[in-house]
Amino acid sequence: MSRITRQRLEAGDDITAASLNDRYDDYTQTDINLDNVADGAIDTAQMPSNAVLLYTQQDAIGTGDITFASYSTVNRTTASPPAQVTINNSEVAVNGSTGVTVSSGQVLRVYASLTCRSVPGVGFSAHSPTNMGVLRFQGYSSSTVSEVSYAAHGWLFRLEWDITSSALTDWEAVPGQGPFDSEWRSTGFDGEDVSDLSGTGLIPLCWAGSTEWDDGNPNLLLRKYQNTGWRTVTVSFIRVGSGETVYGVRLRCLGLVHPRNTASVNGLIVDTTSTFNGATPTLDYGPGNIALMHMREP
Amino acid sequence: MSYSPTAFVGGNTLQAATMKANDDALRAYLHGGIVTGDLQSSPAWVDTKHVSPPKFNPVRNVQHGVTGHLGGKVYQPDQWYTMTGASFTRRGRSDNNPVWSEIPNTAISFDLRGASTIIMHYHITAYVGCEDPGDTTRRVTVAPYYRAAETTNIAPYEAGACPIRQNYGPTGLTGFDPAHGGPAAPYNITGYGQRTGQYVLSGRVPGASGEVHVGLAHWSLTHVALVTSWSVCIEAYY
Repeated sequence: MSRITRQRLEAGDDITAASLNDRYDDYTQTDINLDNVADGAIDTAQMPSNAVLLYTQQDAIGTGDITFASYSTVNRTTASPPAQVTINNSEVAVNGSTGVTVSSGQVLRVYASLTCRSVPGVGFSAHSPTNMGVLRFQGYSSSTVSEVSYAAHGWLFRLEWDITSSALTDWEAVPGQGPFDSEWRSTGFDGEDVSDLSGTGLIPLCWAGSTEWDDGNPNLLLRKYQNTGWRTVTVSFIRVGSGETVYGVRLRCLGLVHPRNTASVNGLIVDTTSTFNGATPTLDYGPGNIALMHMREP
Repeated sequence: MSYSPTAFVGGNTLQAATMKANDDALRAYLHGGIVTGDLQSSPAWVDTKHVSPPKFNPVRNVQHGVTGHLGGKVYQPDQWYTMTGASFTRRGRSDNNPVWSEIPNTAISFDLRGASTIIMHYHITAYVGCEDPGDTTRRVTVAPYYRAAETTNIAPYEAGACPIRQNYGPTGLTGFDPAHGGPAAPYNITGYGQRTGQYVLSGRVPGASGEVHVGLAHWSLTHVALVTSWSVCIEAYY
């Protein structure tokens, strides 16, 4: 692109048909551009519709409906790399098989939500001595120990995309997110830095409650663990475009994860060792949705 | 392009009228004659700064935004809260037959100017329960809804619904260990939940204009739930 510059006619200049034509032919579609159009010179009516919002899509995902008469169950993984489950119907083709190309100056916004509940399992205890996140303090006598649990285990949800294949065969973690498939910082557990958790969401493994307080006494029957009940996990991801063509997005789940710190770095690791007093935690999920917006930056 | 000046041919007489006609055509074109097809779409280059305040057809490419409505508070006198509950919505309802009702004061009326795509984001915080420990169906489910006019029924989007459950369970509930508490179970949160969700109305409001309503509906299986705060964010693109 370049700015149109044509000198004014001066006395003594020759005027020919060609020079006149050039003068009137300066203005073509190519020349109506950043260099030759002033700010405020375009009326909104001169622009096509959807000039800002280029594309939207919304898909229902998951299993069943909100009565939860039917749902799907995800088992806790103790494998390495961890087993990861793709949420039913969540492999969403974007714009059919065409995809959307998110160019520079454009933005892709993806939002996903899913109803789910954590089921800790029969006999569950969050502060079983074999669990991560259990701290022990000396009790009121030298022979007693009080245990404190973080109750910080959770189920992780990850948004993935396919920017390679319209057949949706090349899924990968979205930028800014780790895939949770390799050992984290020599800890012996798979995991990722918390700085690599773009496009992820968490729900807790359990709810730890008390109907009344009695500090220091861990054995009153009025206190209990409870499953989390049906709730919703929400995942969002915003991407400033750099030319990727996004053919699909999907939502995956794995668990259990637990916070960890090593060498002053915070991370989430896949806990494959805690036994929870012999319980087998699972995750149930019902319906949800994925919404996608492709926009120009204003 | 709507601009097509007369081409001059060598050897012909140069007519003043022809030059004036070309000048007029060029002036008309540059002053309002540029049409959509003249603006290159690849790459698209028109930015916000290039667009003048609309003079006619002010709908196209106008983006409406509505955001930030506080639902209620419960911690001071004279401040109101919003309540949902089966006592006034559960009649005829069951846990396998959701029937939706609007949550009072959680809707935004929106003046649509024409066919558009609406994106709604919402958040709600509710305190549910406590009652009948052990009944796992005790929950409130919140869903976004769209209503085209006052006289039509709401249309909740159930795939975008979020349940909030009362956590207050019975002592010794099967599957859980009631024998641990105190420092091991440091939380005392009964049925409190904060949820977020989204709803895209793409192509569902073609031709709709005038006042429409976007808000939150609930299907309540508990006697009472307090909605302590909520917000709705709406984007509409024409």
